[in-house]
Amino acid sequence: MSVTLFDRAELLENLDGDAEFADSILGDAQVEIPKDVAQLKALCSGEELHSIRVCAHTIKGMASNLCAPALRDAAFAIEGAARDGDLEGARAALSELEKIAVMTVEAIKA
Amino acid sequence: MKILLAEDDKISRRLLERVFSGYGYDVVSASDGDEAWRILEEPEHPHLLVLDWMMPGVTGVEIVKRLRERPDGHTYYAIILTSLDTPDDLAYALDGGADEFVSKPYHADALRARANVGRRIVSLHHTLSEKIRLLQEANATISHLAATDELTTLYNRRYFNENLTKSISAAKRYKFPLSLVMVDIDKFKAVNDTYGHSSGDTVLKAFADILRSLARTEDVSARWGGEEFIILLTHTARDGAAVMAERVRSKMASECLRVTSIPVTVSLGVVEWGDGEDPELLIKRADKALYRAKDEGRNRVVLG
Ligand SMILES: [Mg+2]
Repeated sequence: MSVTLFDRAELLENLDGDAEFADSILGDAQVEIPKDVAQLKALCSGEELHSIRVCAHTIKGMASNLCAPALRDAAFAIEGAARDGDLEGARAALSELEKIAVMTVEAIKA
Repeated sequence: MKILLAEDDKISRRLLERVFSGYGYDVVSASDGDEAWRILEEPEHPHLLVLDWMMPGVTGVEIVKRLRERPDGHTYYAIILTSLDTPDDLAYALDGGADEFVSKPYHADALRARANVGRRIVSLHHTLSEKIRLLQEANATISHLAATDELTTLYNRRYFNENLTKSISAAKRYKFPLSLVMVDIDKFKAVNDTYGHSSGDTVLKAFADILRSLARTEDVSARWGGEEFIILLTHTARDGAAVMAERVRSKMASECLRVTSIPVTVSLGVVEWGDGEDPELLIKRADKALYRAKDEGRNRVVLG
């Protein structure tokens, strides 16, 4: 794995060292990440490219706020495929995103 | 000041809330576009908005577009927040009605500073509309005062003249009859001399009440000056006006003593407008009829 899963130091820096708030949103993240990924997976089994794009976009934004670049890049890939009308590409990138999502949550818990 | 933060991702929303809480903002949050729109339809909703562009349901840009179509659309300040960052995206959002465009990742202080600009503009709008409301109230009071006689609260001569001119052009155009009744309180000088001026005022007010009680809503009764009054009756020919004048005469004769303890009567002159006649001439004829009523012994109605 070449890209960082989760950079706690950077997140803390972005929050001016507010560890309590960081822990609080990381707690939310452990719920939100699996929920959003499950939603994206459900959408990928359908044909609604626009919804896939919006959902991947949301995951991308969340990941970048959490300083989780690997998940951000994986979501970005799906968002891009959906924007370009490439449903198969989006579906193909999904399993990689699911794997990274699980690892990101683990890294956050650690 | 209330600020609406609409953002579908919970983490992003909490970060946004953190940017604004503790800086004099009363934060209202929405987790998607539909919820944001519902909030904007509630009473006392925020006018300063930070809207994520991409949300399930209505997008931030769509909310702004819809908002600008409302009658109060100009009173909002909307910042669109997005990870889109091309000049085309910016132009699309601003042309859609957004006031400001901030790309993600944003800098908290910069975003707050931009919202502060919005806060100044929203409070300026608020101050302006409050001032406009006060001005409208003051104008209404002034118009009312300018049209009314203070003592009797009937219309005054100026309002009556304006109204008469308008009514005559309407009568000309739509061909309906119109009559005038000119009234004078009999021996009013003697009332003042015998009972004092405040009793004179009481009599004037009592007569104004009688006029009000007998007039139809479309009639215009005014204090013409001193102890003279005038009534405009639209859609009424001379005979109808004479009936009204007689009611006024008779009510004053029978009730003034009871109401004011002073026996006072009135004399009345009645005329109907003739096509082509101007307001001055019509009033002059009413005055003439009134003075014939005086000459013939007062407390009577004379048709001119
Ligand atoms: Mg979003």
